Amino acid sequence: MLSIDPLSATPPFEQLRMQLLRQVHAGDLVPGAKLPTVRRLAQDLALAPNTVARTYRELEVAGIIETRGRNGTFVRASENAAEHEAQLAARAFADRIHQLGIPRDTALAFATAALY
Amino acid sequence: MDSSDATLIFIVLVAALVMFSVSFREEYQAGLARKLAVRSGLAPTVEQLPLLQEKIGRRQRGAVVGALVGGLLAWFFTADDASADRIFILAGALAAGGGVGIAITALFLANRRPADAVTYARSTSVSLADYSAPSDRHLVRGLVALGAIAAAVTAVMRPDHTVPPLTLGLTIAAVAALVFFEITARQIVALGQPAGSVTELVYNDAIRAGYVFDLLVAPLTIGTFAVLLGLTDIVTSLGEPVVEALRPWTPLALLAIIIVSAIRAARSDSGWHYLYRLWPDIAARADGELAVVTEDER
Repeated sequence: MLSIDPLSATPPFEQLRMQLLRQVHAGDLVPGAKLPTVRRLAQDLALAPNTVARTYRELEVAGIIETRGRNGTFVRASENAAEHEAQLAARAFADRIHQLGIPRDTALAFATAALY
Repeated sequence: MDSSDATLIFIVLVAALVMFSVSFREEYQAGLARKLAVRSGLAPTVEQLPLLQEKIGRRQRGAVVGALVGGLLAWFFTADDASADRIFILAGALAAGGGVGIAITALFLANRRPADAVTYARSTSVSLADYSAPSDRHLVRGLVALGAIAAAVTAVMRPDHTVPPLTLGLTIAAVAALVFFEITARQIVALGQPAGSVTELVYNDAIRAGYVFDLLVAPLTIGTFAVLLGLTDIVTSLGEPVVEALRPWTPLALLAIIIVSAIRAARSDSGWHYLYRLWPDIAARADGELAVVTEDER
């Protein structure tokens, strides 16, 4: 979930950038996850499209996200082949968990137990 | 206009007027909000109830006005048609008009943007598949395709290689209604969702899923008519002995279809589909009961 506080001392651009970064590092946004379009996110957060576009641009330069032409903007996968494969497996796992309606904590407990 | 037509129009107009008027009444809106809550798996909260009721009222008015316009247009253009088949056209036009009315309401009465307040949005992209159960969409697409195939088979089997005008018209209308659904539902899903709280966003998703489901009614209704008429035309073109042989089984077949459809509708949890996809933690917490949304949702 993203939130923007217009009364905060931190500029909206920085609020958005930090939240997206945090979510990618925490694994809330997994590699391959599709981000909303610039226009859509700007509408949702009541921001100017330029603000969202600038955030996406900076994150792209930092290698956090990537734009795949008209397909949209995605969280970038790791360069490492093994890690990339693990990320795809994690994506498939997350999709299946969503389909089954299993809570996040339970799914994480299953995954942790399976790794031991 | 004969007397039966005048009576029918009078009844439809009175029914539309009543449904339009009651949609402004708070008690009636509260009843509709409770129905939406059961269908979407969310317990209405005190803060969200006024907004929910207002949106539900708007949706009903859009559907009533659209259905009325569609029905009256169909009645006007079929005024000379005295056959019993006219009921298919009128019912199809009511469903299509209602769908257009709901679509206009959804597309042009967007959410209000909260001013100077914290705004919330999800960080991932959404698609039509998040709001509409695949089984619902496949059922409607399958029905429309079956109607088109039945019409094509009819054309091949009949000696003059033509399709009866009503079957052809309903088949084309079913395809058009399906295309309208596919385009409009995606546009509704792509609309922005300015929300002042996570709870508001969840309820907004519930309403959005409801709009998408309502839009399926028109292609479902017209597609069903097209299939029924198409199959009837095929059987008729096989000759009188086949018609006579199948006649005793027809009511049983229709009854079986109605029973299977009713069981499917009763057991379907497609109204919760958006919860499973977009808010799995809430769906898991609901566990057969209505879920209470908190601001801790992620």
